[in-house]
Amino acid sequence: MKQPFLNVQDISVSVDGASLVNNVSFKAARGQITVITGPNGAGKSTLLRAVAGLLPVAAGGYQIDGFHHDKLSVKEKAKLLSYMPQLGPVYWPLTVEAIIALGQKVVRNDTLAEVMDALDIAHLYGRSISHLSGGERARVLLARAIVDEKPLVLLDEPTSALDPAHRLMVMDYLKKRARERNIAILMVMHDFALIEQYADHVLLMDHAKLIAEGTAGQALSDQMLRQVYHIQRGKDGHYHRV
Amino acid sequence: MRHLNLLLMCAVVLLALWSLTLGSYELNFLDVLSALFGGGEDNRQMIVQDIRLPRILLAILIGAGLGVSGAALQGLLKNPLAEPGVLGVSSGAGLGAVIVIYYGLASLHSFAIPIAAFVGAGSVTMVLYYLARRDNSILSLILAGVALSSLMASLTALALNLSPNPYALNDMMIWLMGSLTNRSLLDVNLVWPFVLIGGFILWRYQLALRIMALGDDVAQTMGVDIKQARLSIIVATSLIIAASVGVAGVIGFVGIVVPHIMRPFVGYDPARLLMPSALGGALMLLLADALVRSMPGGQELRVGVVTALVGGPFFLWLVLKSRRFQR
Repeated sequence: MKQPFLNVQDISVSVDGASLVNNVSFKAARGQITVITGPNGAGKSTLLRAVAGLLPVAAGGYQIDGFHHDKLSVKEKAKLLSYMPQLGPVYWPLTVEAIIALGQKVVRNDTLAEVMDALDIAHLYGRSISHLSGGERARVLLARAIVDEKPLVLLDEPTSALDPAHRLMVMDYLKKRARERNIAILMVMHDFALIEQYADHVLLMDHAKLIAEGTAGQALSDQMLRQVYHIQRGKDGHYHRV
Repeated sequence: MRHLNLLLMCAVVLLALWSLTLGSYELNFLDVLSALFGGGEDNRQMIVQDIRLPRILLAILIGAGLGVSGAALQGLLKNPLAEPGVLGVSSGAGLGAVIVIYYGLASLHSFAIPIAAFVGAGSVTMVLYYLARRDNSILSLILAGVALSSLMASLTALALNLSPNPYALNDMMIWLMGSLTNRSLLDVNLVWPFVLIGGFILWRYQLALRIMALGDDVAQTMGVDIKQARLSIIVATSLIIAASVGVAGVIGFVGIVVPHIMRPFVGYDPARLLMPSALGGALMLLLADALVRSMPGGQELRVGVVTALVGGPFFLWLVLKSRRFQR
């Protein structure tokens, strides 16, 4: 593994007394896509939110670019990472380009055009976010999260609302961007086929704990699928519940 | 609309000048201009400078303050129906004033009512401040505002109910209606520092308000210190509201109507909404005041009544219309 940009050590997160992330350690490197996967309620989003600095860490900690999380102010953290929540809300019917450029003093037009092209939203320029479909909206919010090239990008299910073609398009672009701009991408994802195709490193969570990690083949081995999801891949190539 | 602010500014100046000509003593534009700059007869100077000008300056200051507070609170609470009154600050200020009138303290000092309004608004703000510090949820902030608001309203009603004599009751009622009549430059001097300071704080949080359009979580990861932003915006709007209510009573709906009208002109951007809302608020209150003053008949309408009469139905229409986007 390359030099880790994000180094999480024995992190535990509790929300209202419930332990949602329990003693999890992992690393995420620049230039790579690290995927967190696991059943619903496993603690994936909580883990991502904790790394984004949105939830207090009950025990353990993490370092971004060598800086301990306690030492980073809100502003300093914002320079190191960007975060896209699952089903992120948009409270005002802003235009697509206003949302992508949100919070930035200047966004270069060619950067904006490149990202909008790559995510197939260029044709939505000038449209209001409130008039878009779920998949279009998800791509616009993704564009916002990656346009400013933060070294650590945290994405919570960015592909869930997309059709198969757009899923591939988005993942191709994320992979390309991670490689070319040396960005560490940490994302939550469920789609096994996409994980196998694109993830450099996979973390499998279940019941607030990290159960397995490694390549897609290692983390999502037959034994793990049975143990965690209670499913197995049949000879016909389909998954079946056991 | 790049020239929106300029356009609104010109409208405010023109309307203010025209408004100076209104009144029982007839003066034209030129009379007003010369009286404003110390020319013409003494009594004309007195009428323009001491009677009409304070009222018009107050309409501009308070209208701008209410407009910008509404825009900022709507951005903060991400709700187009939010209004300075929603958080209970206005009714807190109103209660303070009513208590002073109730105990007959209003006649002791001309600052008695404004100071009491500050105390009332400040107390409500302290509760909200405490709440915003320990709780991250916008919903609980709004709910607390609603609860505080009705608590203040019921305490006000209690004071009215127990009013010592019909005159005090009358004073309280009239004061609660909101008015700009018989105000002096002293009142103007009481308002402008607070509107300016509050406005400056809100202006500093423009970018934060824009980023909050994507929710507080995303805003925080984009470098906005959410708790601090929330506190600063609440305190800033409270300063403005307390000063306004302290001097002119409760003037409702400016803070809700104006930002709503301005929003499409700025692409629904909460940051660019602040300035047009301030100018639009000044414009609306100037208009309402001019309307009140040019009404025929002896009984002058209260400006707070006029804004409420226009704003109430508008509010209802807004609720019905915005249900689509709220869902």
